[in-house]
Amino acid sequence: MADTAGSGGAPNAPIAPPSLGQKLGFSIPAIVVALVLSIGISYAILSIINGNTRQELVAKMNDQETRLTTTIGELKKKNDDLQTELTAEQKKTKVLEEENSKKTEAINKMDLDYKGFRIDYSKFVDVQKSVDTTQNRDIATATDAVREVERKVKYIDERLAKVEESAKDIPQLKSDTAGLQKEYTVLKSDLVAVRNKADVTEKDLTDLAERARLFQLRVLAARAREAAEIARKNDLKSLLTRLEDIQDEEPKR
Amino acid sequence: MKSMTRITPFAIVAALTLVLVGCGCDNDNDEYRGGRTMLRGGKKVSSNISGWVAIPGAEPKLTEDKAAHISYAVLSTHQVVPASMNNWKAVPAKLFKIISKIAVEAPPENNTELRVLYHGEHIPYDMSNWVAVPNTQPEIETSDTQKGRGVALLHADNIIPKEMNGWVATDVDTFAKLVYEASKK
Repeated sequence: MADTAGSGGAPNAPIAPPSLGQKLGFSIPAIVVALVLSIGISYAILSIINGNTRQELVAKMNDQETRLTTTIGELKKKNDDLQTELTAEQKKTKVLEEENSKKTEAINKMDLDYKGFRIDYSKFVDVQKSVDTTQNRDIATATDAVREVERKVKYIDERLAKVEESAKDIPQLKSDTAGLQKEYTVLKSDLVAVRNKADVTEKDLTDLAERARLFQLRVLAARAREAAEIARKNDLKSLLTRLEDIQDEEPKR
Repeated sequence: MKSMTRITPFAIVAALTLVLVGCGCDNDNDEYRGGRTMLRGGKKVSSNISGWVAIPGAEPKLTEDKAAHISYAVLSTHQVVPASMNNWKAVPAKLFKIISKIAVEAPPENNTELRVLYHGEHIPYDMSNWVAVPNTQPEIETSDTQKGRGVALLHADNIIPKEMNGWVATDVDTFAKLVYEASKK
């Protein structure tokens, strides 16, 4: 109607700007449509993502189930094997127990035999000790006899050594030494004879010792006489030789 | 009277001999006594004692050991051997102890040197009453193998050297007795 009126008679009136209500009335449907579209699109995207995730989870669960089943199967198999081994070990244990009891019986029997043997052995040891004591006594007696002989031989050897030591001075003496030399020869032969004698008596030893002592004294006296004679002379070299022979009796500190 | 006449020529000869001998021994300044001469301070050394040595003139003293019945003398450096000890034997103190069992104490060391006299030099006054003797020493024999063993023969007027300080001297009989006893052991 307005268009008619306007085109009929009235100049073209300015068109009025749309009001806020008009603007809202035009915009709301568009917003609603946009909302609906966005919700729909979101739902679609979420549905797609959800579906993919579920598929992956299901696949993983299936995979894990499969692995679990396999593991359980292996464990069952191992368990069966262990059970079998246990049974076998139990059988062996039984056999060993039987053997052990047999051996225990045998050991008990051996122990009884050993006790009997020990009693016999202690009796043997006692007898042996008695034999040893007797033998040791015999050996000690023999050793004493040998020692006695050795002692006598050693005694004679000592005398012989002293006599020989004294006899060494005889050739150095300037006086008449024929008597001393003769005496030395006789004494030495007697000492050797007694040394080789089987049954040397104490009297033999005493006699020889006395003769040896007298011989030494005679040699010493002859030596001393000569030394005194040299001391009276002025031959200092000879005198010094004699003085060098004189022993210092004091122990050295 | 006759006897007087007989004796007189002999007496004159004897007196002359004594006078001559006396003059010959009177060496200007020194008094001659045997092998040694007494010195007088301030006088000149005569030619006949040139080369001799001057020493105080100490002599070894005799010690008597009543227990061992022996006498001995411990020698000291630069002592002069008197005529009474002529031909005596001396041994080191250690050896003397071995042969006699007597321990002697050695005199202190004397490190002075002998004063040699030369002809013409003046004798210092502090050397008055010293004696001049020829520089002779005892004959010594020492062991090469045993240290501390030796023996010396003393003659009158010998001067005791330093190495014989502390040695012990005995007369021949005593020494022979000691050696005899020691050799018997």
